[in-house]
Amino acid sequence: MDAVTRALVIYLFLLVLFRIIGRRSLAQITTFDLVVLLIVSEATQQALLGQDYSVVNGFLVILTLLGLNAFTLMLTWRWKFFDRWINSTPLVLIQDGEPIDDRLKRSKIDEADILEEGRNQGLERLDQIKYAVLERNGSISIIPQSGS
Amino acid sequence: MSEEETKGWARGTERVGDLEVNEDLTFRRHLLWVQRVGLVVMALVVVAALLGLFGGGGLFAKGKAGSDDDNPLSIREYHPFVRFMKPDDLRVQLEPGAAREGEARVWLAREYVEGVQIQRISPEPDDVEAGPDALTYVFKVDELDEPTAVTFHTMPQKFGLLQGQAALEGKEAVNFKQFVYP
Repeated sequence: MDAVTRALVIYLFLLVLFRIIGRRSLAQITTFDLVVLLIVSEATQQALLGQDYSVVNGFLVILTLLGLNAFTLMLTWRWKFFDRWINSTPLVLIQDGEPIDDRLKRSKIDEADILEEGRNQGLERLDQIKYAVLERNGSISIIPQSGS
Repeated sequence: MSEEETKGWARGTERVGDLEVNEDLTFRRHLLWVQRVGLVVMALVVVAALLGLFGGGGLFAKGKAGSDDDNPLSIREYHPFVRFMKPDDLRVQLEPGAAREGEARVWLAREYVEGVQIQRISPEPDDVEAGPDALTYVFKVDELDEPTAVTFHTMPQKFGLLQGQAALEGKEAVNFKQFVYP
């Protein structure tokens, strides 16, 4: 019971915490974001296993986590309410070439972040971008202007 | 928007210009509010941790109990907030007058002892006597001219509120409480 309870509590805690801090933190924008995630995973592992390093405890924890993940997937598939709160929704940041400043500010994204993504697609300037969308996983998708 | 116009759209999506995307601005407003409240709560938790309310040091991390002139035993230091399976120390102070006939007999309530694992005692007792309500630790002393501390090195084994009692045999017990976080 201990293994399952620990896994359940930690899964829910991480779910809520990452929803609060925002999805950009998960997108591993910088090397430091990756380092932070690695440290979080290390701390989580200690809390999940406690002092019990048996194979059975490991199996139970893994089983519980994967089971919860599957259950969450089912919830989000069936009910849009859960899908929104667990996976969030995309957000258009640039529409028809015009940045939506209010949304950029609230998402803590600036034009430099968008230009960085644009450069990955060979774009040079902001006016070559038709749409920029903050995706659910924290990444930014760029739709270039036709002819760019 | 006619059915013809929406044909071929992905399930649950809307249109933003030419883009099919399931944006939900009402949800975004609610999420922003939740995030702000969540960040405030996180900050409060960190402040509480720094103050020692989650154990592990801080302003409220240490406590004393039973500093009474008539009682030769007091709790010199204990931690009101501790964590499950994290090593902890309980320091009991014995004043001159605590010893009788060459022995200082310190008892700890069984309820407390069963909630923690006593890993080591400094100094080591000469004997331990088990009773139905308490364990009595017997320290042989020649003379007790100065206050002496006995440290019980413990490790909490149960979550929740832990009621502790310590006493010298025949004297009034000193009560203390610890909250064990999971």
